[in-house]
Amino acid sequence: MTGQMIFFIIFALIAITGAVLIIALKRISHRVVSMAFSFMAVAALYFLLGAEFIGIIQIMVYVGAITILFVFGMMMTDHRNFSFGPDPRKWQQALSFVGVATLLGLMLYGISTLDMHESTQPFVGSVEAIGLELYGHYFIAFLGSAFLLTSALIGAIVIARKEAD
Amino acid sequence: MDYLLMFLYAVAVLMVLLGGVTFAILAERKVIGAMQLRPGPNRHGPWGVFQTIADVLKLLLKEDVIPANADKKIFVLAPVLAFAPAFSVMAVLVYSSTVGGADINIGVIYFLGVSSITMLGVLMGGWSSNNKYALFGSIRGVAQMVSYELPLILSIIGVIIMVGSLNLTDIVNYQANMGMWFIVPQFLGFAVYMISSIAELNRSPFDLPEAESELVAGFFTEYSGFRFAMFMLAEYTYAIAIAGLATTLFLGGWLGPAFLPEIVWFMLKVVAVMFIWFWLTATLPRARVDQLMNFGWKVLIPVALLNIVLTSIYKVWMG
Repeated sequence: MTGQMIFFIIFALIAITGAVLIIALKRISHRVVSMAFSFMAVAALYFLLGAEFIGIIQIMVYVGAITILFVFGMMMTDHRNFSFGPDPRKWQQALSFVGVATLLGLMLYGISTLDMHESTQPFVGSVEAIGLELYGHYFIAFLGSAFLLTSALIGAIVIARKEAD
Repeated sequence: MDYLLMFLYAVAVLMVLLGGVTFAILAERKVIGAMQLRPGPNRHGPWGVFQTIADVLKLLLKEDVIPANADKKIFVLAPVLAFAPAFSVMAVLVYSSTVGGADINIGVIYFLGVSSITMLGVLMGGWSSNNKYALFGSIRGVAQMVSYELPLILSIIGVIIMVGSLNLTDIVNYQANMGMWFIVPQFLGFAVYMISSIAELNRSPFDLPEAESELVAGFFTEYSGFRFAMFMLAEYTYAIAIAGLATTLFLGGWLGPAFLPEIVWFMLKVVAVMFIWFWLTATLPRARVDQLMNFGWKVLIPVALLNIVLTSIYKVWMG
């Protein structure tokens, strides 16, 4: 077993444990921390794959921004335990189980039939290559998403101002 | 074998860092003391050199107090969450042409991305203490760190445009080839970087999250003993890391006349940057919250953007 394999197993276990704990833990604050750990482990997996840029963007966006956003939401609310009570409706549980199982099956099928050709040299993604793709091939899509985000930002400010008045 | 070497390197950096933090705290007290015409700590050892060691021993021997209404698990985890990112950014710093951490092609972004997690420790520490001062401190801290991270990142982009690489070794080599440190062509960027790094580190005059006259001690009000020591360690580690990045980006890293080893030049420059922070601590009064926010959003960010525009024009013009 190579060192890379050992690290892969460690990070994969952290990611899955964190993801399960987000659902299983009782307090919101604990859930947010386990979410941060899960995101970090996923970022570490990207690093193992050689996709360093994607890995660090994962840390910046998910750990640095989204987790902090959740923590802000948590701080603005009361300091007490939030938990979802046991759901009395059995058919909902059954339905969600079927949905999740189907999704898992589809994903496993997709992964197992994926045609992956082995490359001879280890691949390390570079920022330059991503930048050239983004500003060359996908320039229109890039501009479109920028417009979308700007309008979303303006919309959020308008809504917030209306509530403040 | 590779992993063993990596582990040994990390341990060595940690040991040097512990020594560095110990004497950085002593230096801060001595420098501020000298500027305020008082001797500073001078009882333990010659010139007070063992003062911080005695302080740390005292903190380690203290009773471990956890408030009854605190969220215990988060309370215990917060100092670790504050220290871990501050230490892991050290992985990419390059100290000389031969001594350095990981040589990855996204060094600068790695530094900035990982350092943004330090907020989580501040937030968790302040929130889990269940104390209004701590909560105020951490809300202020996060608002400030989120606002000042933007000018910090924008100020670095000028350097990155000039070099065309995110690798710290490439950046230093570029400065060696140019025959000039980036502090000269990127002076605007350097000024914005220094100001926003003070806010990012919660140092005076932007030490609102731990303003002792208003908030007791800010987000670590409820912390004592070795957990408090851990927060202090995280703060100074992060300060050394940011000073190291400033050295690499703007002050030419390990470059310098050959009569001193490269690594000594690097450390001297880090010390010089930290001295400027201590100097500001001793001279400037604390800014108000609204002044801080206005300054960040209405002055620093436009100036940093102007720097990017000027740098790109220069880069395109020169080819």
